[in-house]
Amino acid sequence: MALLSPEFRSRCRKFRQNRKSFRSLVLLLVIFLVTLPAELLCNDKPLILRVDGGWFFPAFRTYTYRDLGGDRDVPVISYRSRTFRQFTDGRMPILDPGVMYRRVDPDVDGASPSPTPGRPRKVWMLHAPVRHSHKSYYDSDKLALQCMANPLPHHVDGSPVPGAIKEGHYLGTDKYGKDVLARLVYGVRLSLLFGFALAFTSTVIGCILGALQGYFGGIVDLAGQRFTEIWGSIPRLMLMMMLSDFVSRRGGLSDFGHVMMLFLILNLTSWMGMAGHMRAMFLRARNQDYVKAAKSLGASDRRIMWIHILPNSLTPIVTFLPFAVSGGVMALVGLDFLGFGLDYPTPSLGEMLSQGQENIGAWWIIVPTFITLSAMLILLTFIGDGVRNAFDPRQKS
Amino acid sequence: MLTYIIKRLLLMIPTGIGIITVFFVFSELVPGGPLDQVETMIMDEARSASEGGATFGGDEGGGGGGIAIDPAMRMQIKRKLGLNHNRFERYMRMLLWWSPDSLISSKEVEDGAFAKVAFRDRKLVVFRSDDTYHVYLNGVDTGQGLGELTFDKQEKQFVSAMDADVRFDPITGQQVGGTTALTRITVRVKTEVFDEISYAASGARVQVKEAREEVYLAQSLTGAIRNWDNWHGYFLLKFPNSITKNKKSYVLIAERLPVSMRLGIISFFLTYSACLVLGIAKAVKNGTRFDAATSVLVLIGYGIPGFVLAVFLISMFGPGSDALVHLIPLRGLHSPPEIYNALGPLAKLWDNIHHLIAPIICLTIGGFAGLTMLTKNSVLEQFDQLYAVAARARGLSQRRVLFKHILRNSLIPLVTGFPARFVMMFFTGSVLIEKIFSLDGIGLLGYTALVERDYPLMVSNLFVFTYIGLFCRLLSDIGYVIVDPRISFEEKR
Repeated sequence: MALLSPEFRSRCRKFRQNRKSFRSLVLLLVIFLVTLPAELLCNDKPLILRVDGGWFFPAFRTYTYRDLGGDRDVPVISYRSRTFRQFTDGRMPILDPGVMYRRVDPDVDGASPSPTPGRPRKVWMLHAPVRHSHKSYYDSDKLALQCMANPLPHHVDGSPVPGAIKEGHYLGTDKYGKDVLARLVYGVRLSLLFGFALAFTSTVIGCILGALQGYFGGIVDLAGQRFTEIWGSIPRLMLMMMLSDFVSRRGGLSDFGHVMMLFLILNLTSWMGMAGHMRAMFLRARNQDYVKAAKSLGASDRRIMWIHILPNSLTPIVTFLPFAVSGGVMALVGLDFLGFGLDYPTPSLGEMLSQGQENIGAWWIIVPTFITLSAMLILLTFIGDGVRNAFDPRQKS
Repeated sequence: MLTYIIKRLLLMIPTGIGIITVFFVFSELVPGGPLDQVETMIMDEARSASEGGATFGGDEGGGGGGIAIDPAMRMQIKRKLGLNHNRFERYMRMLLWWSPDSLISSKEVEDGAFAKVAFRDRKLVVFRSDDTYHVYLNGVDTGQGLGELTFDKQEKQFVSAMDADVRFDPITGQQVGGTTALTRITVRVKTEVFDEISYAASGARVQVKEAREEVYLAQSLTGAIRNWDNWHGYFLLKFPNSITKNKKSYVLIAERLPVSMRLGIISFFLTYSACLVLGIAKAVKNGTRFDAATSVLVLIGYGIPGFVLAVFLISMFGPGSDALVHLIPLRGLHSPPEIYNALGPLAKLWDNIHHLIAPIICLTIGGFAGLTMLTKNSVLEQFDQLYAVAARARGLSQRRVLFKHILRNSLIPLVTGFPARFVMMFFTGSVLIEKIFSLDGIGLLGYTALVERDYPLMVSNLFVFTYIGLFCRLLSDIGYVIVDPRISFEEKR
């Protein structure tokens, strides 16, 4: 296999010797793997719930009170609500759903639906370290949502206000009363997944288009070159903003659909750098002896491109990848920041950044977001630098 | 070389077609274009105007607050936005289009300055009978009883057919007779020729402030071709008016250009000089701790996106009440005029610098890495060249070898990249930075145009942006050849 070719391995070794870059890679992978199960880290629902000996996993499934041994067919929305506490204390009124919203007339209904005290239930919960998710509100127990809550104790008009850390908001809340830390964790996961996916698809697209151009040359190459030139000379950010605006105005998209649409839009331009590199590699390779030999042996074009040339053209792919990831992350953040990206409940670092700008005093939003985002991108830059040093034959050590 | 340049220039045409096609396809696919935007604007205006209790918008007002835009007005807005044409014509009008409005034989032109104007394609057209000019405002609701106007040649006035007393002065457009002020017609006359007739119907129904009906003169075929007004399209640099700002798009762009240019030029020179010094220093001290440390610093700068840093800086050091230190002013390139104008020249300079520091930091921070490394590598490369070794062997000092011999050769790759980088500096990231620091440049202009759905301004902006980019890239490629004659583009093909 090409991946195990000695040259490739020696370059990997060279990369590993670059301590700064290798550590960055490890650190980034750690960040990615830690944030990947974000639902386990930040969740308003308990991860494990035991009611009278039964096992429940509210973080992954929605249960009704009947599932938990109660009488109501009402889903449990919050495990911190008064209703749930009444349920566990055995004080929950037993109500027929049909009667719930009707004024009860004892003469008609016969029996009064007065709360019949049940028995207290034995409840044990395992909570996530952060008891809020990226879209859960402050606390359903409190009537008013607390928005823009400062995590530290401070004074408002001379009177002290306790910090939101007490409520489990380690980094306070944003302007919609959602937990900043949770949004940060979910946002990092989404950004990294988005960046990786974008890097992958744009590499694949770029490789295919570049390879076709370089290998076949002639009219294919000319057409491809012209197209790239035209497409590439349109200011990218403006184009992305425009398309994203058009898409979101057309409407009818779910949150996930919106992410995918944005992904497709960013794919429209992100392949161009890769295609240029691959074109050059294939252009050079197609006149080399090993390709000519394969051709004279009757190998098909596809086989030559896939088996012969591609393994010899891995350098640009590998060097390109870290920068493609950081480019993808940055594009997403930029679009989100300008308001042309994901819709609100979707966790997004760019959106947090714009909240930080709107509310200049809210350091608990801007500082963590800035640090996270910069750290992520700096790590990617270090990795990219290391990879380039290891793989670029022109670089002198 | 010349053929190469011509080739490149010709290749710019499909780029423009591409931009417009992309834009057109998407704008056609998507609901809620500028028509909705303008209608909302007018309704808002009407709502605030009708607050005093005046009836407005007629009786068929259904939806929002009892105000509706009547069909005639909608037609006029459509016409103003160029939406009255069919899809193909709309597309072609963006690219290149010639629409003669009425053609007559050249003999008729000799007869009089204007001979025959007709109502065609929903446009007002004046035509000539023996002594009178009949003006028909067809196809549009003319308000109450404008009906037919005749032009009285003796008195040089328009006479309403409904009420003979109602007359209009063709030059001022004022009503000069009659008691019933039904309508007002504005006629502008240039020389002897009716250039443009516009009317404003100030009836009870809808007040149309700027509804203009253009009158196209009858003209000969050659005249019609020569007439610049008959030509349309971005390729002729005929940019339509901005919808929201009510100004020519290119005027708006020209107004904003200096701001973006100032930012671009300053950050460009700053980056170049800093990178040169740093790159040379790093080459001389290659492998030392200084080299490694600066490499890390420069890479960190490359990693942090400028706009992210900008947001951070403005919230930490900006004018907000919770900022650590108030170092960054709120917005713009200088203080508000009432303060700024009172300052002395030195204070003015400081004021400008003060406002520019933060945006410039954010614009340049990402640009150091590439250029510094390029400088370093190209100086290092020259270190081992024979001529440098020879110079050292002759006993020249290291400093002399570096500055007199090596530097000159190692600067070639830098100089060749000069124009391309200049352009890059000009455009990259400026939308974000300009928005964050509220600098009124072209980036912000494009952004607001997009937010306000000002399609003409948006396309103009995109178009101008793209073409400036293309021309600068061509110039930079020509620059390559001039600086380094070893490069030839013809042989590459």
